[in-house]
Amino acid sequence: MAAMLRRVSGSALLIVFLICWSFPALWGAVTSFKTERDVLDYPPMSPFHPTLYNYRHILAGPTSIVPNLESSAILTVSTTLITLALAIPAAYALGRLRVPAKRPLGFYVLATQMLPPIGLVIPYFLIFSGAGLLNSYSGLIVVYVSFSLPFAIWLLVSYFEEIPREMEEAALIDRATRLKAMWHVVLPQARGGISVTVVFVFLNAWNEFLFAVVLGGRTVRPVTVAMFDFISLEQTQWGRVSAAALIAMAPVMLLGLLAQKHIVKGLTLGAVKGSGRQ
Amino acid sequence: MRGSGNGLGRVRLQGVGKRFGDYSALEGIDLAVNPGEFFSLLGPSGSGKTTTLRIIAGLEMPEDGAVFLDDAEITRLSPGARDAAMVFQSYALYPHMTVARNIGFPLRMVRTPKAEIDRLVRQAAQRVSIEHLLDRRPGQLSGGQQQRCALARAIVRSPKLFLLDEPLSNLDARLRLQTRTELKQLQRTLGVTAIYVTHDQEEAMTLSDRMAIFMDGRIVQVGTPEEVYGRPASTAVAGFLGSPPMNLIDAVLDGERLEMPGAVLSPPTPIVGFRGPVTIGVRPGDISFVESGFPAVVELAELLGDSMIVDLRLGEVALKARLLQNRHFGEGEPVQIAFDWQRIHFFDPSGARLAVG
Repeated sequence: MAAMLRRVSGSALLIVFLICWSFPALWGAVTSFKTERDVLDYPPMSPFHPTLYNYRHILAGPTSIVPNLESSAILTVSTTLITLALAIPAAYALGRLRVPAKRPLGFYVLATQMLPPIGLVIPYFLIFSGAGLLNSYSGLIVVYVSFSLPFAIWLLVSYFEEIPREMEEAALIDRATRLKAMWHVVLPQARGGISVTVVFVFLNAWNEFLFAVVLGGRTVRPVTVAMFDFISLEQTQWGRVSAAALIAMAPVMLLGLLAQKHIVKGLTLGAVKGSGRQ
Repeated sequence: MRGSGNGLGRVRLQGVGKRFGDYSALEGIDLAVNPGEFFSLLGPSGSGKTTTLRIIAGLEMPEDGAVFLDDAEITRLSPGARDAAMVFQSYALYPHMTVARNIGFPLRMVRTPKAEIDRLVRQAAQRVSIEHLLDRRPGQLSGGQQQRCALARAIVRSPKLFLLDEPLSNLDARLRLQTRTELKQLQRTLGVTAIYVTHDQEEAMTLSDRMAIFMDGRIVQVGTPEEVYGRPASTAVAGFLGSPPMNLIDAVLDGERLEMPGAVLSPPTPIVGFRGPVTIGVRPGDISFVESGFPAVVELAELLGDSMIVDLRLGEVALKARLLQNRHFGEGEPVQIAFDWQRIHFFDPSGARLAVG
């Protein structure tokens, strides 16, 4: 009886959270299919004729966000690839090798996460304007990598530490070089951790707004920045903002769904001795 | 699938020492293992036996000394370049690969042609009777099957040297006995040199051609199981081997008399060659219950099934005796015991074996 009560109350709690979380998203989704007149209609729940007008406008119209989606993709994919290329060897070194001053290094990596990003905007602006990196992809990518790298390293170290050392030693004895042992034995087993890291890095870069708006200027405008074109002093085009937001959410949601399997497996890997991915 | 190359596999360690920080794990290890020999490194945990094996494997670098395989020095060689395969205590199978890919891994790493890999993998799997499991993954195997898979991965490359780190300790008791026999047969057929680390003296005694006893980072004795058991070089070895281990009694030897706390024994023939304080060693099996001998008191009797262990008190000395028949003893029962004087061991006060007759 008590167990059932617990289960029911647990489910109820989950449903409340789910509604709270999904309400804005659903509201946005509904709004994106409304004309501006319907958006402002009162009461808000009244029936309306769904239209693809907003989508047509933001995809094919004069204020199309497609170039901005491309910008976002360039920034995000580059950031993710560069971060992983640097974080995997770094995390491996911290988690595995006898690195002198390993603990202080690990803490230093984490400590960089404790700075509030907004405090860095002005210094970055000054440095970048001096270095000619304003309004450029490379400038923003440098910023994004510098933010995601510590987090990615920190996340991956725990995954690498979990892989039994003996497995790698076995690979070395089985005539693999250190690099081959890493490639054939360590990385496949860290796949879960790498997927989780990809999701987080991708998510942070894709959703970034502050640095993009300050350092990207008029040339590099990811979709998060471009969305604000639909909000002006005279008018907020709610339908278009919603449609743009929905399109911007899609890649992240898709990635989350794709990686879900790996994330769960990554978390349970090593829980049972000798168990492997089937 | 005989040992590769010239088929040797002679291992020599010369003054090998290893420190971890301030802790000295190994000191002055000298060892020579003959080609084709089954050689055990036996000792309590923390005695340095696994470190020695890892140095031979190349997984640890010694601070002092040198390691030779046949005539080549391999001290600083990478593990993969040593022609030595290893079976780990945890098996260390690659969980994301099938059994076939696990076994074939050492071959793939040196770019063996695929057909050759398939043939050798099948052959190795057959040797350890797991050819029907080649498509499974390690997670789908039982402990015994995982262990066989690890063995197959080690033999597939026909190494000169076979290193085993407590490979049987994760198996249950019955499987361990069976695998022990198979392991020995496998090593004999392959004719490969095997170095086997264990803390289980029974395993070491039954498997080894020769063995080295490790204590506190040093080798205290090397010999055949018979030699090490029959003529332990020190009280430490004597007290480590045998179950229960040898009784060690502090006494004073004076030719015809052997004085120990609370009792004086007189051997049938005078003991010559040494006088003064000694430690005498008596194996529990070398104590017998007789009609008239030295008076002792039974403190506890444990039944083992085919034999029994009797705790005795002789004067102030506690002794364990092994009796090959079952007999009832009451607590505190007075008995008469005798020692097999031919088989008594003498050690000097520093613990070293004495040649006393």
